[in-house]
Amino acid sequence: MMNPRIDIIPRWVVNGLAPRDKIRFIVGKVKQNVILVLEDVLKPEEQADLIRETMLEIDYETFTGIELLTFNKNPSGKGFMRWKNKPNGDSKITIIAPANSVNVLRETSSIISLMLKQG
Amino acid sequence: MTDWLSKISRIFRRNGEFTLGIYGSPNAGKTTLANRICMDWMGKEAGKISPIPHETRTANIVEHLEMNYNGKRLKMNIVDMPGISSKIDYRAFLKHGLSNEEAVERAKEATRGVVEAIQWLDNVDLALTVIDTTRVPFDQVNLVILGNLRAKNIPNIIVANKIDLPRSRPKLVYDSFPDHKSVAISALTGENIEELYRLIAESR
Repeated sequence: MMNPRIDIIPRWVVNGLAPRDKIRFIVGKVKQNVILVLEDVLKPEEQADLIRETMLEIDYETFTGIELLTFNKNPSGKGFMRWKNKPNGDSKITIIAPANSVNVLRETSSIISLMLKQG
Repeated sequence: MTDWLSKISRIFRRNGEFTLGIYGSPNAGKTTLANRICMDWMGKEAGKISPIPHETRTANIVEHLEMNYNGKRLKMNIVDMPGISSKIDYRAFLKHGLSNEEAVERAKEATRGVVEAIQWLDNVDLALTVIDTTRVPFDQVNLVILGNLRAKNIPNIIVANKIDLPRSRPKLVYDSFPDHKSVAISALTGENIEELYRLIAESR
C-alpha cells in the first residue's frame, strides 16, 4: 500500500458538493490512503451517512474503515458538546483518516494525536 | 429496510407502546443493560453477552415490556442495537480465538449491524446511549450518536456504565456532556439502576 498522504481541503471545496457527493468524495479519498483535514464541520447526519457508506466499502483486507475526528470548542469550559444550534460547537475542522494507516490517541478533549502505522 | 423499521415503530405506537433504543460503541454494555432491564421487569434476559466486540450484530427487539415506576405504567419495546463503529478489522477478532473464516464472517455481520443501528435512529422514541466509564468518552461514535439524536429531537439519557470497575470515571462522562441527562450505573451489578428507571419514567 502507498504511504499515507495528508490532504488539507478548504471549506469551499466540500461545501460546493451535494451531500451524497460529499460523502463519496471523502470515502474515495480515504480509500486511497489519504488523511483528510477538512476545513468544515460535518453535520451529525452527514457523519452517520459517512459511517454507513464506510461500512458498505469495507473490504476486510486493504480498507477496514475510518477514523473520524472532530474538535469541539469549549467556550464555557464545562464540556465539549456545546454546539448551540451548530453541529459540534464552534469546531471548524474534521479529520478523516484510513483506519489501517493510523492509530488515534485521544486522552483529553483538546488534543487529537494521530500516529502513522509503520508500513 | 428503513420503511420496514418505520412500519414496526408505527405498529408499536398504535399499541400505546414506545420504542426504547439502546445505543453505544461495541462493548459499552448495551446487552448487559438490556438484560438487566428485561430481568427486572420481565424475568428473562434479552440476549447473549460476550467479551468479544460486536457480539450483537443485528438489532435485538424485546417486545411488550411493561415498567411500573411510582404508579406510572410504561409500555415499551426495547431495541438492543449493534455497536456503532467507524472501523471493523476482522484481525481484531483473531485475538479472541476465532478462526480466520469466523473472524471475517463476524466482521461482515458487524458492518451490516452498524448500518442497521444507524437506520434505527429514525425510529426510536427514547434512546439510552451507553458509555463505558473505564474508557475516555471522547470517542467520535458517542458524538455521532448524541448529535443525531439531538438533530432528530429524540429524547436521550446517557448511561455511564461499568461503575463497578476500579478504573471507572463517571465524572468524566458527566463533565464531557453537561447538557445531557445522565446517570451512572453498573448494568452488571444493578447499582443505581433505580435512578435510570426514574429518568426513563420522567422522560415519558
